Amino acid sequence: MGFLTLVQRACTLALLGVLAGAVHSALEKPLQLAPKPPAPPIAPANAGVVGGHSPAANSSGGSTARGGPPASVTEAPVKQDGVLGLDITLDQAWELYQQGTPFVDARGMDEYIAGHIDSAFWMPTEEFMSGHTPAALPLLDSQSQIVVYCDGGMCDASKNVVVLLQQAGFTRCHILTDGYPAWAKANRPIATGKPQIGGN
Amino acid sequence: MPSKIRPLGWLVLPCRIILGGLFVFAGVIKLMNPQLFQQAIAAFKVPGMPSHLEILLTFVVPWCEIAAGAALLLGLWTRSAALLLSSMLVVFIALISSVLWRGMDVKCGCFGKFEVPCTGPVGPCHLVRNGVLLALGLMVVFFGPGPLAIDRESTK
Repeated sequence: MGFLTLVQRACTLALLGVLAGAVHSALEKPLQLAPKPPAPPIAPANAGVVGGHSPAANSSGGSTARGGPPASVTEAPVKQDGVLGLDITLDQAWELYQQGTPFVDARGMDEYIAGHIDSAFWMPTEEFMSGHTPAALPLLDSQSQIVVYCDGGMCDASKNVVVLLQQAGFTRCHILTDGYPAWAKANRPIATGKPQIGGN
Repeated sequence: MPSKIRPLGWLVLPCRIILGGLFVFAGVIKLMNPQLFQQAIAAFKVPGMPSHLEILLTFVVPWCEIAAGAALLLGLWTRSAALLLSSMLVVFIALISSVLWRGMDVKCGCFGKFEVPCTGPVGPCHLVRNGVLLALGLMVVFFGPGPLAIDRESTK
């Protein structure tokens, strides 16, 4: 077989892929390219998770929390997040944390085990594989605020998880832009160890 | 009369099966959740890539992987399929090198949640893995399909 035939057939296979891909993209529901800004709250809602579940339940028993324990989900009324945009600062995240807002760690398992925001759920993008629901997702209230974080800086994982959460109906997501490193550096509560929910 | 299979042909067969199987698997995994793969493409932040091309690639890359991977498994247009996959691997290696050079923290998105043997953000391990796969692909390009291939049956 000549080189030309070799290349022609390779191009034919590539063209087949392009055609199949074009048809598929036309049939598939539109992809969401970027996270949307959080929706305003529908009604004064309790922060936290469905059924009063404390996010603390996701921490492993061997965690080594620094600072104070997370506040109870009913301890303080939720601040209306109309003023909070998609990206929030460390101080805004800390305020939400104290109100019992659930935090979601979008990083890999190894990074979560090495250190995470105390009580944070582990929910990386891989947990959203088709046909699988992230184990912690049913525990979260889609109407309540959620803070997602990764490593900050050049890290895209939190943005990606927010897109996936929004597709799952969670409209009040925020991203802690400076990520876990800033949280830990500010001496906020952290923990180590495996997540109790997910990652099996 | 059937053409003789050189001893090297039996060495090419596992290369063909492994490479074909891996790429079919990778393509199917990506198509199971296109949103995830789109995010993986976006995370590479290729300069000047428009969003509509991003969306098209989200579907075209997996389908190319499936088409070429299936051709390799069947031994149909084997060398051409291996050439296509090798070309794709060269692009993947270039993209990974670019990410490493820019010091970015991105996930590969190559095999969904089944990132073996490389886990975590894109790193040198991904480069080595793709380099090994490229070597397998080039072996098939240069030495042909080996035994148990439609190409071979059709030339009997």
